[in-house]
Amino acid sequence: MSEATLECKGLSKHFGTNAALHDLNISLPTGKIIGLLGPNGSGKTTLIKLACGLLTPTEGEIKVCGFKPGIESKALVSYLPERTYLPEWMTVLECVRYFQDFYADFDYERAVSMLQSLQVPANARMKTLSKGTKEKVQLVLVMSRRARLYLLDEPIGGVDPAARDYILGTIIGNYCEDSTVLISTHLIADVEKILDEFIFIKNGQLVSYASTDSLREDLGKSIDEYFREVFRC
Amino acid sequence: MFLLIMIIKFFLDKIICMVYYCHSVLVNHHTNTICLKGSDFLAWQFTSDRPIYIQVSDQIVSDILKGAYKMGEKLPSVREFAVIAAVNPNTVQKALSELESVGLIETQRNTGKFVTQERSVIEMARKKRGELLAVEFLKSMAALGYTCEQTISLLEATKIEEGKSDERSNA
Repeated sequence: MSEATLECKGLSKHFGTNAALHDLNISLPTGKIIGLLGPNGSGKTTLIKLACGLLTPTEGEIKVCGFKPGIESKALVSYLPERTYLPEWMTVLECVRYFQDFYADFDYERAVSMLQSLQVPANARMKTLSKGTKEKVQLVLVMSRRARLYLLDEPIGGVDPAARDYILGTIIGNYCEDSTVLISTHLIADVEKILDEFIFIKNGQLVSYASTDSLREDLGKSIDEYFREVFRC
Repeated sequence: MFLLIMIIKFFLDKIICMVYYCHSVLVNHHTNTICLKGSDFLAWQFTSDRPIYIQVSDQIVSDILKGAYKMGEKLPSVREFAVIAAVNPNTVQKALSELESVGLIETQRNTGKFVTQERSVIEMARKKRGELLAVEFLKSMAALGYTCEQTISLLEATKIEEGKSDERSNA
Protein backbone atom coordinates (compact mmCIF):
# COMPACT_ATOMS: atom_id res chain seq x y z
CA MET A 1 0.00 0.00 0.00
CA SER A 2 1.43 3.31 -1.00
CA GLU A 3 0.53 5.60 1.79
CA ALA A 4 -0.17 9.25 1.25
CA THR A 5 1.97 11.61 3.27
CA LEU A 6 -0.99 13.83 3.98
CA GLU A 7 -4.55 12.74 3.50
CA CYS A 8 -7.75 14.68 4.10
CA LYS A 9 -11.17 13.09 3.88
CA GLY A 10 -14.23 15.30 4.01
CA LEU A 11 -12.23 17.68 6.15
CA SER A 12 -14.16 20.65 7.52
CA LYS A 13 -13.30 23.26 10.08
CA HIS A 14 -15.82 25.79 11.27
CA PHE A 15 -15.15 28.76 13.46
CA GLY A 16 -18.64 29.51 14.75
CA THR A 17 -20.75 29.95 11.66
CA ASN A 18 -17.73 30.68 9.52
CA ALA A 19 -16.45 27.70 7.54
CA ALA A 20 -12.70 28.02 7.14
CA LEU A 21 -12.50 24.66 5.39
CA HIS A 22 -15.40 22.81 3.88
CA ASP A 23 -15.39 19.17 2.80
CA LEU A 24 -11.82 19.07 1.61
CA ASN A 25 -10.61 15.84 0.05
CA ILE A 26 -7.01 15.65 -0.92
CA SER A 27 -4.16 13.19 -0.83
CA LEU A 28 -0.58 14.34 -1.12
CA PRO A 29 2.06 11.90 -2.36
CA THR A 30 5.54 11.38 -0.97
CA GLY A 31 8.61 13.04 -2.41
CA LYS A 32 7.04 16.16 -3.84
CA ILE A 33 7.29 19.87 -3.23
CA ILE A 34 3.77 21.17 -3.26
CA GLY A 35 2.50 24.74 -3.20
CA LEU A 36 -0.57 25.55 -1.16
CA LEU A 37 -1.94 28.62 -2.84
CA GLY A 38 -5.03 30.72 -2.43
CA PRO A 39 -6.18 34.24 -1.72
CA ASN A 40 -6.20 35.69 1.78
CA GLY A 41 -8.57 33.91 4.10
CA SER A 42 -8.94 30.88 1.86
CA GLY A 43 -8.04 28.39 4.59
CA LYS A 44 -4.38 27.73 3.90
CA THR A 45 -3.20 28.27 7.42
CA THR A 46 -6.20 26.40 8.83
CA LEU A 47 -5.30 23.36 6.74
CA ILE A 48 -1.70 23.48 7.90
CA LYS A 49 -2.72 23.89 11.53
CA LEU A 50 -5.07 20.94 11.24
CA ALA A 51 -2.26 18.85 9.79
CA CYS A 52 0.01 19.54 12.72
CA GLY A 53 -2.67 19.08 15.32
CA LEU A 54 -2.98 22.67 16.48
CA LEU A 55 -6.64 22.61 15.51
CA THR A 56 -9.09 19.74 15.56
CA PRO A 57 -11.40 19.16 12.61
CA THR A 58 -15.10 19.92 12.97
CA GLU A 59 -15.84 17.09 10.59
CA GLY A 60 -13.90 14.59 8.55
CA GLU A 61 -10.38 13.41 9.18
CA ILE A 62 -6.81 14.24 8.40
CA LYS A 63 -3.90 11.82 8.50
CA VAL A 64 -0.17 12.25 8.28
CA CYS A 65 1.60 9.09 7.04
CA GLY A 66 -1.41 7.14 8.26
CA PHE A 67 -1.44 8.71 11.73
CA LYS A 68 -4.06 11.04 13.11
CA PRO A 69 -2.47 14.23 14.45
CA GLY A 70 -0.87 13.23 17.73
CA ILE A 71 2.42 12.11 19.18
CA GLU A 72 3.33 9.86 16.23
CA SER A 73 2.45 12.43 13.60
CA LYS A 74 4.21 15.27 15.38
CA ALA A 75 7.47 13.35 15.28
CA LEU A 76 7.16 13.24 11.50
CA VAL A 77 6.02 16.79 10.84
CA SER A 78 8.24 19.82 10.80
CA TYR A 79 6.11 22.92 10.99
CA LEU A 80 7.01 26.50 10.26
CA PRO A 81 4.29 28.72 11.69
CA GLU A 82 3.46 32.10 10.25
CA ARG A 83 5.03 33.83 13.25
CA THR A 84 8.00 32.91 15.36
CA TYR A 85 7.54 31.40 18.80
CA LEU A 86 11.16 31.24 19.92
CA PRO A 87 11.76 32.83 23.33
CA GLU A 88 13.14 36.32 23.04
CA TRP A 89 15.79 35.82 25.70
CA MET A 90 17.45 32.84 24.00
CA THR A 91 20.44 33.25 21.75
CA VAL A 92 20.33 31.76 18.28
CA LEU A 93 22.62 28.95 19.30
CA GLU A 94 20.56 28.19 22.37
CA CYS A 95 17.54 27.86 20.10
CA VAL A 96 19.46 25.39 17.96
CA ARG A 97 20.32 23.32 21.01
CA TYR A 98 16.77 23.58 22.23
CA PHE A 99 15.58 22.05 18.97
CA GLN A 100 18.29 19.43 19.16
CA ASP A 101 17.01 18.38 22.58
CA PHE A 102 13.45 18.35 21.36
CA TYR A 103 13.64 16.44 18.09
CA ALA A 104 15.41 13.16 17.49
CA ASP A 105 15.68 13.88 13.77
CA PHE A 106 17.41 17.25 14.22
CA ASP A 107 20.70 17.72 12.40
CA TYR A 108 22.84 20.14 14.41
CA GLU A 109 25.63 20.45 11.86
CA ARG A 110 23.25 21.26 9.11
CA ALA A 111 21.58 23.97 11.17
CA VAL A 112 24.88 25.61 12.05
CA SER A 113 26.15 25.59 8.49
CA MET A 114 22.90 27.09 7.22
CA LEU A 115 23.00 29.82 9.87
CA GLN A 116 26.52 30.58 8.78
CA SER A 117 25.63 30.87 5.11
CA LEU A 118 22.77 33.17 6.00
CA GLN A 119 25.15 35.20 8.16
CA VAL A 120 23.00 34.97 11.24
CA PRO A 121 24.97 35.95 14.34
CA ALA A 122 24.98 32.79 16.43
CA ASN A 123 25.39 34.45 19.79
CA ALA A 124 22.87 37.23 19.37
CA ARG A 125 19.72 37.06 21.44
CA MET A 126 16.49 36.58 19.57
CA LYS A 127 15.13 39.93 20.75
CA THR A 128 17.99 41.78 19.09
CA LEU A 129 17.33 40.25 15.69
CA SER A 130 15.27 41.87 12.95
CA LYS A 131 12.00 40.33 11.84
CA GLY A 132 13.55 38.84 8.70
CA THR A 133 16.50 37.38 10.59
CA LYS A 134 14.17 35.80 13.13
CA GLU A 135 12.31 34.19 10.27
CA LYS A 136 15.56 32.89 8.86
CA VAL A 137 16.47 31.31 12.20
CA GLN A 138 13.06 29.72 12.46
CA LEU A 139 13.25 28.33 8.95
CA VAL A 140 16.75 26.95 9.48
CA LEU A 141 15.53 25.14 12.59
CA VAL A 142 12.56 23.69 10.78
CA MET A 143 14.54 22.61 7.71
CA SER A 144 17.28 21.04 9.82
CA ARG A 145 14.98 18.26 10.87
CA ARG A 146 14.77 15.08 8.80
CA ALA A 147 11.01 15.04 8.78
CA ARG A 148 8.57 13.24 6.52
CA LEU A 149 6.37 16.26 6.04
CA TYR A 150 7.45 19.88 6.12
CA LEU A 151 4.65 22.36 6.55
CA LEU A 152 5.91 25.80 5.69
CA ASP A 153 3.46 28.61 6.28
CA GLU A 154 4.72 31.69 4.42
CA PRO A 155 8.40 30.78 4.69
CA ILE A 156 9.72 33.57 2.49
CA GLY A 157 7.29 36.38 3.16
CA GLY A 158 9.49 38.51 5.36
CA VAL A 159 12.96 37.91 3.99
CA ASP A 160 14.89 39.76 1.30
CA PRO A 161 15.10 38.39 -2.26
CA ALA A 162 18.66 37.13 -1.90
CA ALA A 163 17.84 35.21 1.27
CA ARG A 164 14.65 34.04 -0.42
CA ASP A 165 16.73 32.38 -3.13
CA TYR A 166 18.98 30.83 -0.54
CA ILE A 167 16.02 29.51 1.41
CA LEU A 168 14.45 27.99 -1.69
CA GLY A 169 17.84 26.52 -2.53
CA THR A 170 17.97 25.09 0.98
CA ILE A 171 14.60 23.48 0.50
CA ILE A 172 15.70 21.94 -2.81
CA GLY A 173 19.10 20.89 -1.53
CA ASN A 174 17.88 19.32 1.66
CA TYR A 175 14.62 17.66 1.00
CA CYS A 176 14.81 13.97 0.22
CA GLU A 177 12.72 11.58 -1.80
CA ASP A 178 10.76 10.24 1.13
CA SER A 179 9.61 13.58 2.41
CA THR A 180 7.01 16.01 1.19
CA VAL A 181 7.17 19.76 1.46
CA LEU A 182 3.99 21.80 1.57
CA ILE A 183 4.60 25.51 1.09
CA SER A 184 1.91 28.10 1.58
CA THR A 185 2.73 31.46 0.07
CA HIS A 186 1.58 34.44 -1.92
CA LEU A 187 4.90 34.81 -3.68
CA ILE A 188 4.02 32.34 -6.39
CA ALA A 189 6.45 33.56 -9.00
CA ASP A 190 9.31 33.00 -6.58
CA VAL A 191 8.44 29.45 -5.59
CA GLU A 192 6.98 28.32 -8.89
CA LYS A 193 10.07 26.71 -10.33
CA ILE A 194 10.64 24.52 -7.33
CA LEU A 195 7.09 23.20 -7.14
CA ASP A 196 6.11 19.78 -8.45
CA GLU A 197 2.46 20.32 -7.83
CA PHE A 198 0.17 23.01 -6.61
CA ILE A 199 -3.09 23.20 -4.74
CA PHE A 200 -5.49 26.10 -5.20
CA ILE A 201 -8.01 26.61 -2.44
CA LYS A 202 -10.66 29.25 -2.15
CA ASN A 203 -13.19 29.76 0.63
CA GLY A 204 -12.07 26.51 2.20
CA GLN A 205 -12.69 24.45 -0.89
CA LEU A 206 -10.38 22.84 -3.37
CA VAL A 207 -10.28 24.68 -6.68
CA SER A 208 -7.59 22.66 -8.40
CA TYR A 209 -4.77 20.28 -7.67
CA ALA A 210 -2.42 19.67 -10.57
CA SER A 211 1.21 19.34 -11.53
CA THR A 212 3.14 22.41 -12.57
CA ASP A 213 4.29 20.85 -15.81
CA SER A 214 0.84 19.73 -16.86
CA LEU A 215 -0.47 23.26 -16.36
CA ARG A 216 2.22 24.62 -18.62
CA GLU A 217 1.79 21.86 -21.17
CA ASP A 218 -1.99 22.09 -21.31
CA LEU A 219 -2.59 25.80 -20.90
CA GLY A 220 0.82 27.28 -21.63
CA LYS A 221 0.57 29.26 -18.42
CA SER A 222 2.64 29.67 -15.33
CA ILE A 223 1.02 29.11 -11.95
CA ASP A 224 1.29 32.83 -11.30
CA GLU A 225 -0.69 33.70 -14.42
CA TYR A 226 -3.20 30.97 -13.73
CA PHE A 227 -3.65 32.16 -10.16
CA ARG A 228 -4.37 35.71 -11.31
CA GLU A 229 -6.90 34.34 -13.76
CA VAL A 230 -8.70 32.01 -11.35
CA PHE A 231 -8.80 34.41 -8.44
CA ARG A 232 -9.42 37.63 -10.36
CA CYS A 233 -11.08 40.13 -8.06
CA MET B 1 27.82 29.52 46.97
CA PHE B 2 25.07 27.88 44.97
CA LEU B 3 24.66 31.04 42.97
CA LEU B 4 28.36 31.10 42.20
CA ILE B 5 28.26 27.53 40.93
CA MET B 6 25.29 28.40 38.79
CA ILE B 7 27.11 31.38 37.28
CA ILE B 8 30.22 29.31 36.59
CA LYS B 9 28.09 26.59 35.05
CA PHE B 10 26.40 29.17 32.86
CA PHE B 11 29.71 30.45 31.51
CA LEU B 12 31.07 26.96 31.04
CA ASP B 13 27.99 26.15 29.08
CA LYS B 14 28.60 29.17 26.88
CA ILE B 15 32.18 28.14 26.24
CA ILE B 16 31.24 24.59 25.37
CA CYS B 17 28.58 25.95 23.10
CA MET B 18 31.11 28.15 21.31
CA VAL B 19 33.62 25.35 20.95
CA TYR B 20 31.00 23.08 19.52
CA TYR B 21 29.95 25.78 17.12
CA CYS B 22 33.48 26.43 15.91
CA HIS B 23 34.08 22.72 15.59
CA SER B 24 31.05 22.13 13.47
CA VAL B 25 31.90 25.12 11.33
CA LEU B 26 35.28 23.59 10.65
CA VAL B 27 33.79 20.19 10.00
CA ASN B 28 31.27 21.69 7.66
CA HIS B 29 34.01 23.42 5.80
CA HIS B 30 35.37 20.03 4.83
CA THR B 31 32.22 18.05 4.24
CA ASN B 32 30.78 18.64 0.85
CA THR B 33 27.48 20.31 1.61
CA ILE B 34 25.69 21.74 -1.35
CA CYS B 35 26.48 25.37 -1.27
CA LEU B 36 24.96 28.13 -3.27
CA LYS B 37 26.46 31.05 -5.02
CA GLY B 38 24.39 34.06 -5.85
CA SER B 39 25.38 34.13 -9.51
CA ASP B 40 24.12 30.62 -10.11
CA PHE B 41 20.61 31.71 -9.41
CA LEU B 42 20.51 34.46 -11.95
CA ALA B 43 21.90 32.34 -14.73
CA TRP B 44 18.80 30.27 -15.36
CA GLN B 45 15.74 32.21 -16.35
CA PHE B 46 12.52 30.52 -17.30
CA THR B 47 9.64 31.69 -19.41
CA SER B 48 6.14 31.03 -18.23
CA ASP B 49 4.69 29.43 -21.35
CA ARG B 50 6.63 26.16 -21.48
CA PRO B 51 7.15 23.38 -18.95
CA ILE B 52 10.21 24.03 -16.84
CA TYR B 53 11.71 20.60 -17.45
CA ILE B 54 11.84 21.35 -21.19
CA GLN B 55 13.55 24.65 -20.50
CA VAL B 56 16.02 22.92 -18.20
CA SER B 57 16.82 20.28 -20.82
CA ASP B 58 17.19 23.00 -23.48
CA GLN B 59 19.64 24.80 -21.26
CA ILE B 60 21.67 21.64 -20.71
CA VAL B 61 21.69 20.97 -24.47
CA SER B 62 22.94 24.51 -25.05
CA ASP B 63 25.70 23.93 -22.53
CA ILE B 64 26.69 20.72 -24.29
CA LEU B 65 26.66 22.40 -27.73
CA LYS B 66 28.68 25.31 -26.37
CA GLY B 67 31.17 22.83 -25.00
CA ALA B 68 30.62 23.79 -21.39
CA TYR B 69 30.11 20.06 -20.84
CA LYS B 70 32.45 18.23 -23.20
CA MET B 71 31.95 14.89 -24.88
CA GLY B 72 32.23 12.07 -22.41
CA GLU B 73 32.35 14.47 -19.47
CA LYS B 74 30.55 13.67 -16.25
CA LEU B 75 27.54 15.84 -15.61
CA PRO B 76 26.57 17.24 -12.20
CA SER B 77 24.18 15.07 -10.22
CA VAL B 78 20.46 15.66 -10.26
CA ARG B 79 20.64 17.44 -6.94
CA GLU B 80 23.57 19.60 -8.01
CA PHE B 81 21.71 20.60 -11.15
CA ALA B 82 18.64 21.33 -9.06
CA VAL B 83 20.62 23.68 -6.88
CA ILE B 84 22.43 25.31 -9.81
CA ALA B 85 19.21 25.92 -11.70
CA ALA B 86 17.17 26.53 -8.53
CA VAL B 87 14.49 24.11 -9.66
CA ASN B 88 12.91 21.02 -8.21
CA PRO B 89 15.08 17.86 -8.38
CA ASN B 90 12.18 15.96 -9.92
CA THR B 91 12.12 18.52 -12.73
CA VAL B 92 15.82 17.98 -13.35
CA GLN B 93 15.28 14.22 -13.33
CA LYS B 94 12.62 14.61 -15.97
CA ALA B 95 14.83 16.87 -18.08
CA LEU B 96 17.75 14.45 -17.89
CA SER B 97 15.66 11.43 -18.86
CA GLU B 98 14.43 13.44 -21.83
CA LEU B 99 18.05 13.97 -22.91
CA GLU B 100 18.84 10.36 -22.23
CA SER B 101 16.04 9.23 -24.51
CA VAL B 102 17.57 11.13 -27.42
CA GLY B 103 20.98 9.74 -26.58
CA LEU B 104 22.69 13.00 -25.69
CA ILE B 105 23.58 11.74 -22.26
CA GLU B 106 24.26 8.30 -20.89
CA THR B 107 23.94 6.84 -17.46
CA GLN B 108 26.80 4.73 -16.26
CA ARG B 109 25.79 2.53 -13.41
CA ASN B 110 26.84 3.84 -10.01
CA THR B 111 28.96 6.61 -11.41
CA GLY B 112 26.44 9.09 -12.75
CA LYS B 113 25.46 10.68 -16.00
CA PHE B 114 27.87 11.52 -18.80
CA VAL B 115 27.69 13.47 -22.06
CA THR B 116 27.63 11.08 -25.01
CA GLN B 117 30.85 10.19 -26.80
CA GLU B 118 29.09 10.07 -30.17
CA ARG B 119 29.89 13.18 -32.14
CA SER B 120 27.05 12.44 -34.57
CA VAL B 121 24.42 12.67 -31.83
CA ILE B 122 25.71 16.06 -30.75
CA GLU B 123 25.88 17.28 -34.33
CA MET B 124 22.32 16.12 -34.85
CA ALA B 125 21.22 18.08 -31.79
CA ARG B 126 23.07 21.13 -33.09
CA LYS B 127 21.39 20.81 -36.49
CA LYS B 128 17.98 20.42 -34.91
CA ARG B 129 18.49 23.43 -32.68
CA GLY B 130 19.76 25.47 -35.65
CA GLU B 131 16.78 24.55 -37.78
CA LEU B 132 14.39 25.51 -35.03
CA LEU B 133 16.06 28.88 -34.59
CA ALA B 134 16.06 29.48 -38.37
CA VAL B 135 12.35 28.77 -38.65
CA GLU B 136 11.63 31.01 -35.69
CA PHE B 137 13.77 33.78 -37.15
CA LEU B 138 12.08 33.57 -40.55
CA LYS B 139 8.71 33.72 -38.85
CA SER B 140 9.58 36.86 -36.94
CA MET B 141 11.01 38.42 -40.11
CA ALA B 142 7.82 37.54 -41.97
CA ALA B 143 5.89 39.27 -39.20
CA LEU B 144 7.93 42.40 -39.99
CA GLY B 145 6.92 42.09 -43.66
CA TYR B 146 10.12 40.62 -45.02
CA THR B 147 9.96 37.97 -47.73
CA CYS B 148 12.29 35.02 -47.51
CA GLU B 149 14.54 36.46 -50.24
CA GLN B 150 14.68 39.88 -48.60
CA THR B 151 15.63 38.24 -45.34
CA ILE B 152 18.41 36.29 -47.00
CA SER B 153 19.82 39.35 -48.74
CA LEU B 154 19.58 41.26 -45.49
CA LEU B 155 21.51 38.49 -43.78
CA GLU B 156 24.18 38.60 -46.45
CA ALA B 157 24.43 42.38 -46.21
CA THR B 158 24.72 42.07 -42.45
CA LYS B 159 27.46 39.51 -42.83
CA ILE B 160 29.39 41.75 -45.20
CA GLU B 161 29.08 44.68 -42.85
CA GLU B 162 30.29 42.53 -40.03
CA GLY B 163 33.27 41.50 -42.15
CA LYS B 164 34.00 45.16 -42.81
CA SER B 165 33.85 46.06 -39.19
CA ASP B 166 36.20 43.19 -38.48
CA GLU B 167 38.66 44.57 -41.00
CA ARG B 168 38.35 47.96 -39.40
CA SER B 169 39.03 46.61 -35.97
CA ASN B 170 41.99 44.67 -37.30
CA ALA B 171 43.47 47.72 -39.00
